[in-house]
Amino acid sequence: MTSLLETHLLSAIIFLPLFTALGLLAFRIVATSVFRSAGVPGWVWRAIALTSGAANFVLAAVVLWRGFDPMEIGYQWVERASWIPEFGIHYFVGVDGISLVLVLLTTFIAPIALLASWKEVEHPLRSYSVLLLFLETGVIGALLSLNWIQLYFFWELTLISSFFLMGRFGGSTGLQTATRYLLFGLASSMLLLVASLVVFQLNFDQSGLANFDLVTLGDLPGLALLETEIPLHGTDVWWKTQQVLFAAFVFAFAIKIPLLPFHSWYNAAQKDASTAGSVIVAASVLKLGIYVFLRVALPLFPTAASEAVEWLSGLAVFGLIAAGLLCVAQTDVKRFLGCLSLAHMGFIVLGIFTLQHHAVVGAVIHMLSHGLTIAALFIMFGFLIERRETHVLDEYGGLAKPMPIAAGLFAVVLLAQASVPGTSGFVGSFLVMLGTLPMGLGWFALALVGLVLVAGTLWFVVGRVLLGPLEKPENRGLIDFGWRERIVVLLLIVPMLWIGVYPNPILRRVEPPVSLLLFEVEQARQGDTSALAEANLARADRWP
Amino acid sequence: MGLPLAAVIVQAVALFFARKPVRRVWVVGLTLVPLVLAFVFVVSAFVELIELDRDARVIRDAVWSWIGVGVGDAVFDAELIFRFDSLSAVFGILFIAVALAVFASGLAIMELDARADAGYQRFFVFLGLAFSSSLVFIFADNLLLLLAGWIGGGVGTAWLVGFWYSEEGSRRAATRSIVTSLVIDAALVLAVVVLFWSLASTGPHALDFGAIRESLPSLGRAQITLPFGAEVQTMALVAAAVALAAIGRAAQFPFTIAAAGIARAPAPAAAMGLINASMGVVLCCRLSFLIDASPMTGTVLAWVGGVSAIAGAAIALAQRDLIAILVAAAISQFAIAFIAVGSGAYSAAVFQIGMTLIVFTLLVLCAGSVIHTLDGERDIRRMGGLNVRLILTHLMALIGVFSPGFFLSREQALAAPFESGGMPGAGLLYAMGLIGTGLVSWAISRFLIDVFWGSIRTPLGFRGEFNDPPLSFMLPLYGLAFVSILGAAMNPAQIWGDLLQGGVEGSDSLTQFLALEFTEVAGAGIEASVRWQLVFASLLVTLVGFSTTYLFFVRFPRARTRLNRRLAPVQNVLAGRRAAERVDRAVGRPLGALSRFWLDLSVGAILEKVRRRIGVQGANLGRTFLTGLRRAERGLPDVSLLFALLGAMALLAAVLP
Repeated sequence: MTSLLETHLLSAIIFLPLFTALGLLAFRIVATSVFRSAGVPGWVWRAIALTSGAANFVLAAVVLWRGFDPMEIGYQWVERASWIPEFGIHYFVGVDGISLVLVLLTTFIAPIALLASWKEVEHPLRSYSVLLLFLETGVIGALLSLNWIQLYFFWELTLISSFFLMGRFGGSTGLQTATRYLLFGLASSMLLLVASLVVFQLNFDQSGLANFDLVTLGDLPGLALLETEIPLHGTDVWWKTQQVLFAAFVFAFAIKIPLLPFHSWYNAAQKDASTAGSVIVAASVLKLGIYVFLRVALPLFPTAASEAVEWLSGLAVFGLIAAGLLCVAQTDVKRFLGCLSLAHMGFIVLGIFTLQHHAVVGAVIHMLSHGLTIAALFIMFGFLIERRETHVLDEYGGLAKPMPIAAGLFAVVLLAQASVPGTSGFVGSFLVMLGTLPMGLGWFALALVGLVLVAGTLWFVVGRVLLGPLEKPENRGLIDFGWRERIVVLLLIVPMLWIGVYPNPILRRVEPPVSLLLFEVEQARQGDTSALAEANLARADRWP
Repeated sequence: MGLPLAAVIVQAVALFFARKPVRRVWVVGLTLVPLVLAFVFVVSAFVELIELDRDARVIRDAVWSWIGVGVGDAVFDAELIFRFDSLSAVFGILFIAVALAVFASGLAIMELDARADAGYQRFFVFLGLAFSSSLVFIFADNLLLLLAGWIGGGVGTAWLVGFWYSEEGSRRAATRSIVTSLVIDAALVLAVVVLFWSLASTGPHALDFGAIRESLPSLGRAQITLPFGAEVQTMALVAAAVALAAIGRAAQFPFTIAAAGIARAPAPAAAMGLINASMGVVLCCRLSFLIDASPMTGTVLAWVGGVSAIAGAAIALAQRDLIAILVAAAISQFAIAFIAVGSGAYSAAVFQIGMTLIVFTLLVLCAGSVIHTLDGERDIRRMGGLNVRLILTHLMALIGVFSPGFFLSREQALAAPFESGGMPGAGLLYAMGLIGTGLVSWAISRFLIDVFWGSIRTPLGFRGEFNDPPLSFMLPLYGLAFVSILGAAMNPAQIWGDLLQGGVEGSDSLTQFLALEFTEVAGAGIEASVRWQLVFASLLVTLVGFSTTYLFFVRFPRARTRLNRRLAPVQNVLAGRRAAERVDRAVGRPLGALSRFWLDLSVGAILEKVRRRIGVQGANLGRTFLTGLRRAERGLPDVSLLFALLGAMALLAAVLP
C-alpha cells in the first residue's frame, strides 16, 4: 500500500475527490433504485465530501510536501501512462515547486469551503458536494498535468463543474450568470485549443512525431511541446507566427485569469455564486489561469513574451489601479471582493511579466497568499450575508460592536490582504515590488500606487462595515461568529501568519523551478537551444 | 523583545477563545510582567554593551532566516536578526521605560473609564501591538526588519486612534491616520528597494546596516533614471524617500494633520502615539549614513523642522482639546529634533527626542488623570481650579512643564545649525526654532493655568470624590517626573564643555556614547561667548512664553484673592476668573488664525477644503465618477467574447488548408 501510494501519489491526490464523488453518486443510484430508499441524509454526503477533502489535504501536506526534495530541479513524483499514443496523448503528471504550492492551496481550501458553507446550502446537498469534489479534481488535475490534452481536459472539468455550481446554487439569476460564464470560458478555451493545435502541428513538422507532452521524457524519442521552435516570422499566412500565437494565448488567459477589461464574467459569477463556489473560484481557479500561462505560454513564446513585456505589464498595472478604483465604487459586498481579486490578479501578472526572478517568485507566493486571504474574506462576508441576507455594503456598519470576534478576525485577514509585515501578503508583494524596479522606476511607482490604493480601499470597507456608529436597527441584534465559523477562519489565518513569519520553506521549493523557467525563457529567446536541451536532460534524470 | 509580542499574542488568543472577559488581574499581569522583564533584560544588555570595547559595541542575535531569494549578486537575504548597539540601547531603554509608564497608567485609567468595559483587554492588545512593532523597529539589524517594525507601528497607531470605533470622529481619525501611514510606508519601501538594487549593482552584499554603511561609498555618484527620462542621484532619491517617511511619521509639515488623529485617542494611546511619532526621528538617526550621503536632504529636513516647529506650536495654541494641545506641542518639539538631524547633530536629536517623549508622556498622562476626573471632559475651557484636589497631578504637571532636562535638550538641538558650520541660513533656522519654542512654552503654560489654576469652570461638577487617581496610576507619573529631572544630567557634558571651552574629553556623555553610530558633522564648533548667547536667548524665550501667560493672570485681583485663600502663596497670584477666556480673546484669536493657516497648508486640510468648496457640483461629479466606475466594473463582455471567437476562427482559417 505504501509503495503504491509512493508511486501513484499524484494520481491519488487528483482522483480521490473524483472517486469520492462517483462513489456517492453510485451509492445514491443503488440506494434509490435497488433498495427503494430515500437515500442517506444530506449532511452525510457533506461529511463524506469533507472527509475526502481533508484526507486529500493530508496526502498533499504530509506525504507530498515531506517527500518533495526542494534541492532537486524539475518535476518529481512523475507518473506516465499511454492514453491515446498515436496522437501523443498520455496520462502524464508531475509536480514541481510551483505546482506543489498551488496543489497544497487547493487541497486546503476545498474542505474549508465546504465547512464554511455547511449551513448556507440546504438543498440539494448531494449534488452540491459532488460538484465541489469535481471542481477540486479539475483544478488539481490541471495543476499537475504535463500533457497538454490532459491539462485541457481537467481545465474544462473545472469550467463545467463551476457552471453547474453557479447555475444550480447561484440564486435567482444564477443560471443566466452561469451561462455567461460558460460562454466566456468556452470561447477562451476554444481560442487556446486552436492555438495549441497550431503548436502541435509545428511540433509535428519538426519532430515527425505526434506529441502533446509538455516536457520531454528522458528515454523516449520526440520533441516536447515546450521545446517546439516557433519561428518569429512565417511565410504567407503566418507573417509573425510566434507573436500571433502568443497573442491568442494572452487573449485566452486574459479572459480566464481575468484581467481588466476582460473580466465581466467574473464579478457577475462571484455575485451569484454560493460561498464555497466563490471561494474555490477566487482562490484556486483564477490561479490556474496564471499558472498555465506561466508554465506553458512563457516557455513556448519566449521572444514574443519578451517583446510584449511592456504592453502586458501596462495591462496588468492598468488592471491593478483600475480595479482598485472600481473597489471604491462598489455597493455590493461580493462585487467588491471580486474587484479586489481583479486588482491582485493584475499585481500577480505584473510580477510575472517582469521576467525577473524575485518578482516571479513573489508572484507565486502572492498567489498563495491571495488564495488564503480572499477565501477568508468570501467566507466571512458569507457568514455576514447568512445573518443579514443582504449583499449591500451600506446595510452594514458598526458591526464591531455586536460582533467583536468577527471584527478581530476581519482585521487580521485585512492586514494580510493589505500586505502588512508578518503576514503572507507582505512576503509576496514585497518580492514582486523588489523585482519590478529593474523594469524602471515608473513601473515600480505605478505598482506601488496600485498597492496603496488597494490597501486604502480595504480600510475604507472596514470603516463602512465594522466601524462607526451602529445605525441600522437590524444590525443591533447580530450574533457574533460561532465556534464553527471561528475555527474555519482561524484555519485560514494560521497559514497566513506562518508564511508571513517563516516563508523560507516555501521559497526554497518555489525558487528552483522559477530559476529554471526564466533560464529557459532567456536561452530560448537568445536562440541557444543547447542550454535548453541540457536543462531538459537535467530534469529527465529522475523520470522512468 | 519577544516578550511584549508574546504577551500580545497570548492576550489576543485569550480574547478569541474566552467565553467571558478575562479577569483584570490576568490582563495586568500579561501587560506589565513582560514589560518589566523586557526592561530588566535591556538594562542588563546595556551593562554588557558598555563592558565591551568601544569599537566593538554591537550585540547581534539571529533568530532565523526570514526571506531569502535570488542568486548571484541579486541575493536578497533578510534575516530575522536583532541588533543591540549604542543607539538601540538608548532608544530601547527609553521606549521600554516610557511604555512601562504608559501601560501601567493605562491599566489604571482604562479600569476607571466607563466606556472601556467592553474594550479593556482589546485596548492592551492594540497598545502591545503598536509597542512591539516599535521595538522591532528599534532593534532591527537590517532594512527589511526595520520596514516591518515601521509599518507595524503605523498600523498599531491607527488601531489605537480608532479605539473608540463606534464614534464617527474616531473612525475618521483612524482613516486619516492609516492613509498617512500608507503614503509614508510607500516612501520607505521605495527607499529600501532602490537601495537594494543600487548596492546589488556593485556586487554581493548583505542587508544589515553595518554592511550597507560600508558599501555606500562604492555607489559614488550613481544615478537612477526617473520616469520620462530625467536622472537623479540614487543616494539623493533614497535619502529623500527616507526623509519623507520620517517627516510623515513624526507628523511634521505638511503632514501635521496626522497629529489630530493621535489626539483623538484615549490618553495612554495618545502617549503611545507619541512614541510611534518619534520613530520618524529615530529612523533618521538609524539611517544617518543615508542622510549624510545627501547633504541637500539634510538641509531640507532641517528647514522642514523649522517650519514644523512654528506650525505645531501654533496649532497647539489654537486647540481646545486637552490632549490635542499637548500632542501638537510635542510635534513642535520633534521638529526641533529634525533641525538637529538636518544639521548632522544626531546625538542632540536623540537627547531632544528622549526628553520630549518623557516630558510629554508625563503631561499627556496628567491630562488623562484630569479627563478621568472630569468624567471624560476634554475641552480646556471647561476646566480650571483642579490644583486644590488633584494636588499630585498638578505637581507632576509642574515638573513636566519646568523640566530642566527638556530645556537643555532643546537648547542643544537648537544650537545644532551653528555647530555644523555649513548650514545655510542657520540664523533663520535658529530663530524659527526659537519662535516655536516660545509658542510651545506658551501652550503648555496655558495647559497648566487653564486646567489647574483659576476658578472651576466645569458645568457638571466632578466625578466621585474628585481626588488624584489611585497610586497605580500615579506611580508611573512619579517615575516619569523623576526621569524628567534626572534627564538633565544625561547629556550636559557637551553644553558645559562648550561653555567652559574645556571640551568633554573622557566624559561618557550621550554624545560620546553614540559616537560610534554617527558621523557627527565636524563643524567649526561654537565659541563660548556664542554658546552663552544661545543659552541666554533660549532661556529668555522660554521665560517669555511662561511669563506672558503669568502676566495675564496677575491682572485679575479678584481671582487672586480667592486663590489666596486656598492655595500656596505663589500659586495664589496666578489665578483668576475667566482668565482663560480673556487669554483666548487677547491671544488665542490671532494665534488661532495662524494655526488655521498652517492647517490649511497641509495636504489633508487642502483636500478637505477643496471637497467643501466644490459643494454640490463636486458631489455630482463624484456621483458621476462612481456611477461610471460601477458601469466599468461590468467590463467589455461582448467585445472580449467576440474577440475570443474571432481569434479562434482566424487561427482555424489559417491552419486549415
